[in-house]
Amino acid sequence: MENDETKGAEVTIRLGAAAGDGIQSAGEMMMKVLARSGLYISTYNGNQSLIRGGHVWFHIHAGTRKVYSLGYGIDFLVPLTQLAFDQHFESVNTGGAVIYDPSIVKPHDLQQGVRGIPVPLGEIALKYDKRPIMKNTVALGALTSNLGVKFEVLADAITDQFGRKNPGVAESNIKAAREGYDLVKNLGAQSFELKYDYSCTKPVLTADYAFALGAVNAGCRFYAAYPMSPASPIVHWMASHAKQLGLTVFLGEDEISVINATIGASYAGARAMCGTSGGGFALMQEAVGEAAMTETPVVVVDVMRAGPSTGLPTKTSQGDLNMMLGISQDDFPRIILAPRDSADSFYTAGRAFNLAERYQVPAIILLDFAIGDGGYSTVEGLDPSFTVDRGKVVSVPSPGAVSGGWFRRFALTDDNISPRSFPGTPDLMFVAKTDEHDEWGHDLSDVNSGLKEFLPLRVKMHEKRMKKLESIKKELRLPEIFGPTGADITIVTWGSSANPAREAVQRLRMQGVSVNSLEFTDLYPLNESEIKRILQVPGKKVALEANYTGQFETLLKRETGIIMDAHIRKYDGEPIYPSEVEKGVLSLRKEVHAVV
Amino acid sequence: MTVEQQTRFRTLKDIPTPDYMSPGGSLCAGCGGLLAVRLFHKVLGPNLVWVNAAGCLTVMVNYPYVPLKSNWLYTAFASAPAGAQGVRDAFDILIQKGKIPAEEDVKVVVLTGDGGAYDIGLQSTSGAMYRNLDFYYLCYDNQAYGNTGFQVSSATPIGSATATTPPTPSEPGGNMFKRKDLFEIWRAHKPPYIATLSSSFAVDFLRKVEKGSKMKGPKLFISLAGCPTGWGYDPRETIREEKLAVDTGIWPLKEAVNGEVKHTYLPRALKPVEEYLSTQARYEHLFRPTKRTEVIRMIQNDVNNYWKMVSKDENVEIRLVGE
Ligand code: SF4
Repeated sequence: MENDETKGAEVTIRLGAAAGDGIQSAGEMMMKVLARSGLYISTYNGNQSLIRGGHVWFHIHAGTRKVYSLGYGIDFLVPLTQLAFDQHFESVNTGGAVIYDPSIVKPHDLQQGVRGIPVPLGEIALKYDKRPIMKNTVALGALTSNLGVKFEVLADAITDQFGRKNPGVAESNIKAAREGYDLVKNLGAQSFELKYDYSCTKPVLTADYAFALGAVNAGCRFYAAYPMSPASPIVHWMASHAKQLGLTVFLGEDEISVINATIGASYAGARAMCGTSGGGFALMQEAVGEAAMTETPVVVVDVMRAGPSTGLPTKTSQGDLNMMLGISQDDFPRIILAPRDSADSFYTAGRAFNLAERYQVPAIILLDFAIGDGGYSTVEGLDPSFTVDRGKVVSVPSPGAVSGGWFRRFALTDDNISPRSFPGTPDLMFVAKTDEHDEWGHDLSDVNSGLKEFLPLRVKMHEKRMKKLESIKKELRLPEIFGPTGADITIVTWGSSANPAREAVQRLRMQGVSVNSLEFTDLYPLNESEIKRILQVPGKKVALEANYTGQFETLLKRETGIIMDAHIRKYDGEPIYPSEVEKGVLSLRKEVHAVV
Repeated sequence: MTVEQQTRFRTLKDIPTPDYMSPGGSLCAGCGGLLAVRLFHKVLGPNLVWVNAAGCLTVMVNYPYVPLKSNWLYTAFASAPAGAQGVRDAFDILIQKGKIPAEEDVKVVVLTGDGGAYDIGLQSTSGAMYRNLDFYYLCYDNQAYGNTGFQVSSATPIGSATATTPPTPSEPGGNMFKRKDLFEIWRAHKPPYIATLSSSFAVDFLRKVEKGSKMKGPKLFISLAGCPTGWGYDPRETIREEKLAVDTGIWPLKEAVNGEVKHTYLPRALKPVEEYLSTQARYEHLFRPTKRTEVIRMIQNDVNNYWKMVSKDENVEIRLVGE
């Protein structure tokens, strides 16, 4: 960790334009340029729920050391519209620069120490096409030049982007970019140079692609979805690789169909998963209860966006945790995991499948827009080795497990996990009943309900399901500390809020603040005693999350009795910035000193 | 006097000038869905409540570029017709109580894309038809989920590429399911009026909405919605694309009055479907790098079979392609 805290060279870039200007693909090209120059990457896609117009932006944070979130401020702003300039110029750091087309953008009120670099982007672009659509590639040329990255890296990224479809388009884009590059070079306007290593490409992935990869790597054979932003990249990727991966992709007519098909596939023996965002998950709830009652393992991924209702379709939030804790009616066991970043997502997918199958319960994964759609991060050395654990699957009946042609599918056992069979296995037939049932799957809900000889059985069956939580919690991961142990202030994070906290911790420690963070990825069931032990720190604890009520903070209190000293909560739809964490921590620090 | 004789709409000059949608909205240029909504609104006038479920046209209501001059209720995706039920019932109560004058004739119009109409909202529509709800349904059918990135819906035609049915080496033909016949599904409920529409046949379009407006009960319309973004053609060409869809017989213009079907436009000779398919990027893989004749032929056969039935049922002669 100590290495991580020595400040390395880093840069923050923000491209802004109107929807339809191709800013996301430009951003992704720039990201590739930097990743192929050996830098660590973290990006954010400032999208709008718009088809055309408005204002969209793409943010890149890159560094020679690991970077985790958006970083601090903006070193390079590239506004392709006046609105983009107006929205972001105040965040440009001293020593930073704004690359703009003077015929489009009036760079009023530039702060002292910020350079304006005028480049006739539109004029150059018009040389290569009737419409100035290539102005963003010209801007990338200028930017690349400014950063002192060699042009060939950009040319390659452009070829990747357009080459396969249309080599002619790639060629004119490269020429346009070259003009931007040379123009800045001749101006002598290069302002920044990091240590580049062109021999070392750092792979990047968004958390949703990483999750899809991880799922397939872990033997996922069935994926179901219905269109919903921001979860759609998963199904796009799954659909375009389905055949090659031996995967069945099911596109239902709504989310109810999606999750029921997933349960069906799992019941019949496939590793099955479905994905959606909060609104779609709301429709799935009844069926999650059904999976729990029939003890059919199922993995559901929710890429969270800001709600309620359709809310902010392209903005981020960590607001769905309460829904996951209270899915459907009455009590049943479930697992809730929230990976921090892309690498985490990859491994979490595999863990989710093994846990779901071992315990025959629903496993819910919470991703969010901040790390999902457009949120790339560097994934170095992903390890694909994985052992599939399908739990207690039986194909031959053990003594006492079969009677009268029926299989004791829901047998009461010491570890509360019953042997499972797949339909078609000789002698192991059973009914997967959503009503309360006995060990054989015969229902306790009708002629037997309320009869005194059956009351204890209902209690036992219910307890058998619920008691699985005790074993699960011992298997889940405990929170990890970022930074040294024993700090004055501990930031408690879950899922993606770990990332801005890390950057704030690094920066604060350089300022001499004694702070670390504690990162939860496995949210439910919580291992109370262990967590209590870990959180028994002398310093102050501050909870960091992106929702209004402090959903995780409340869960922690409910399960462990631990009360935070303060919290930082954000719910404007934008990702949490490290500077906001820093501010929150510093205000708390004042308090700490006041007490001392 | 027949309904046709009573119509206000005889030529394109009869398209009413008042527009209840202002220009400058944030949809894609050349959106055929928007065109359909504008024409629809012109016939029904300003006194209406749109009840809308998620789709491209939802994105249209985007402050400060809200182009509407009428009311708008946004419901959960699966339930726009149920929302319309509540609105209609409340209006009826208020009319009964004399709180709003019956002459105001406020209309309730469900507006959804094909995802909402063919997939997630079908059950709700079925319920509203069953209850004989007095409402309009306008489905702008761009044949995929346009708003979320053009994923396949059950209105996507065979052969179309979408984000979830991309042509791949092992599945080179794109979508391989036939689209649902929503017109027939609706017709099975026996509502008083159903029609298919296309803005490229504007007079036919206006007349049908006018005709429906004279009936009580569910009045349902499916308008083809040329989608430059999803289909992949120049935004200027929406009308031409939609017209080609009609002239090739891919998009029949018809109506069903109390269940009885009649085509309102009978092409004497169909144009080959290839003329239509080859103009759109969503079908590009059927032509390049190698021509997928079997898929094109399958599409042509479907069209031919359809019109064979029509010529029998309506006793007209229609020249098919390649037969
Ligand atoms: S995606 Fe298609 S249907 Fe949607 S607004 Fe654009 S053109 Fe219209």
